[in-house]
Amino acid sequence: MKRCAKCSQKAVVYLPHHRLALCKDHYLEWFERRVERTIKEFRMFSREDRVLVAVSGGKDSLSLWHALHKLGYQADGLYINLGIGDYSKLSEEKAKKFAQGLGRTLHVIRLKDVVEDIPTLKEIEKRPACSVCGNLKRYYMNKGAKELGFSVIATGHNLDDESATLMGNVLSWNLGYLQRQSPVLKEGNGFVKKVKPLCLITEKESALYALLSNIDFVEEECPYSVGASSIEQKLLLSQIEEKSPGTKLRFYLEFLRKVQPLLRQEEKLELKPCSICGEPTSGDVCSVCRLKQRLTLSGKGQGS
Amino acid sequence: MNLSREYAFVVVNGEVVEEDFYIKEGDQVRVINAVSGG
Repeated sequence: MKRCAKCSQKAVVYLPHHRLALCKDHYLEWFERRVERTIKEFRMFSREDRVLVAVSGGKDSLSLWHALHKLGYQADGLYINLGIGDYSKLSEEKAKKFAQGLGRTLHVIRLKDVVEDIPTLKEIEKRPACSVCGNLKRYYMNKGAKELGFSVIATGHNLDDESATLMGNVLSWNLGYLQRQSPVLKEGNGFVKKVKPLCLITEKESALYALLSNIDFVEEECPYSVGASSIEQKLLLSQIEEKSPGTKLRFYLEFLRKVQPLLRQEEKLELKPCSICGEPTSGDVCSVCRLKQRLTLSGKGQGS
Repeated sequence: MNLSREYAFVVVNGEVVEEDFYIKEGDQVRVINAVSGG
């Protein structure tokens, strides 16, 4: 039986890449300190900022919101209902219940009200559902944060998300995405600052924090994420991590330290307001307004 | 179940347990797979 490195009580968590065994209380403390250190190290925000947490009802976003609240940050939530049957119903229910328990506000945007739900959009789009969904979530997160007066958007992206995305982008040498992959995306050009305070926390660590904090999160996976390439990449990285603990963290941190500064010098993306909605875009019309146009043409939109 | 300890863990009667833990009849077992994606 492993003992807690801090108090010698029975350990409930062992973190191989940190070679650290911890009891419940010291694990929760370790997690929150790591989140706090990440926020400070990457200059994400201060206690004066109004932070909008993008909440899905899953372990990462609820753990993040919980930790930020405990650390004394002013954090409210934004839930985007994707209209994916029981999955979305359950997610919204859990997010609302959690917000209530925390005593913070949860803002809700329903895709069905502003564009169309994901199942309908999937029918008219050739792209994978996750790509359409990610595109819409980023758009409405930014728009929502601006309208509600928040200076920062915090998402629950964790180390597994970031290292898998990095691996995917490296495998295809997608320099545009690599340039923009960062724990902090600065405000400007119509964008609210976006941060990822869990970027140095693994998915398992996040799930353990949620469980040990008695957070009631959605365990079901989105039905459209089955077979997603990001899951395959995470599983591949896990195999390497199991044999060589610390690989994911090193892969991500060394990318940020050694490669990103070089890529940033090459960044020359010019943005302007979309001629229809005014949100930032690199073309004349943003991707969401183009999606709405295709929806109208398909005859599947609510207004058609 | 083809899961790895890298991303999954087992909770018995509300407690996180290690791989060598023996479960007995009546125990409430929950397997949490932390991998999510999309």
